[in-house]
Amino acid sequence: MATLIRHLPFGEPRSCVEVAGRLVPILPFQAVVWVSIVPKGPEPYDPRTPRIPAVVDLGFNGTFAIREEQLREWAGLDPRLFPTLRRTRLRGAPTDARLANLWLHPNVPRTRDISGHAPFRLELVKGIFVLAPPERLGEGDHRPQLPLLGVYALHRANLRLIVDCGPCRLSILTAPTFPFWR
Amino acid sequence: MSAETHQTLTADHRDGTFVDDPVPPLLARSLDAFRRDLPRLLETHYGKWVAYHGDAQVGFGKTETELYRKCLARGMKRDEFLVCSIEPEIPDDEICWSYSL
Repeated sequence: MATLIRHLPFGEPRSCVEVAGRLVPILPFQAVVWVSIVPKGPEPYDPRTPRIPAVVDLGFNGTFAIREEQLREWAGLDPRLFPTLRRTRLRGAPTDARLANLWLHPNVPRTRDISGHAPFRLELVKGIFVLAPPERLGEGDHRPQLPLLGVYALHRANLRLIVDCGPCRLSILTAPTFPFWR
Repeated sequence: MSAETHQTLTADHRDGTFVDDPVPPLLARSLDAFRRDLPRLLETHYGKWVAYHGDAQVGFGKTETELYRKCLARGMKRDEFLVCSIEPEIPDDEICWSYSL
């Protein structure tokens, strides 16, 4: 069993993280991890791959969702790097399901900082959701402000999520090797 | 995807327009085939991964990466095959998140 995310703090007052040269606000009680989006396939992690923040959202029953402009501007990735599997709408937003996986970056314990330890590959069932902006001017934008990492992504990787709401710490661990521990 | 292709794609979109690339036909057929077979697969291979190349089932595996390796080794392009986890699908109208504005 390995600890990927260790005692990640999420109870801080409003704060910011820097992404692609800009400051992105993080609200209190948002647990933010760092991920890299990559095409599906067997290739090992390339350390030059950009890293972006994502909120671990227990209410999100998908794998990963990101605004199209964040994929382009924060991650520096053209959506066409990831083949479109299908088109749909989520909460009214035109959405492409695109074939991609994530690398989850371990943190420095008790901080949001990336530790530099080897990241963990998350194989995402049917990829990620890329949410396009509203089609008409003046239409409400109901897309999440930050990329979301959903429970389904953690489920398929058989990971363990520990949320300790007293001290406001979140940990993510790989599953134990021996079945009697499960 | 090569670094050159990546650079070209990025350059194409510096104007900030949004992407409207079509669903690759073989990928769409692969998804249809997977959905057609899913009820049976849930009974026989629950929790495994399965690969489709259009209508054809390529094989099963314990991980997605294992099947990607297999399909790529057979010369398939990444937009010509689909690797899926064998478990019930979540309908789009049931997908939601808790984080809002």
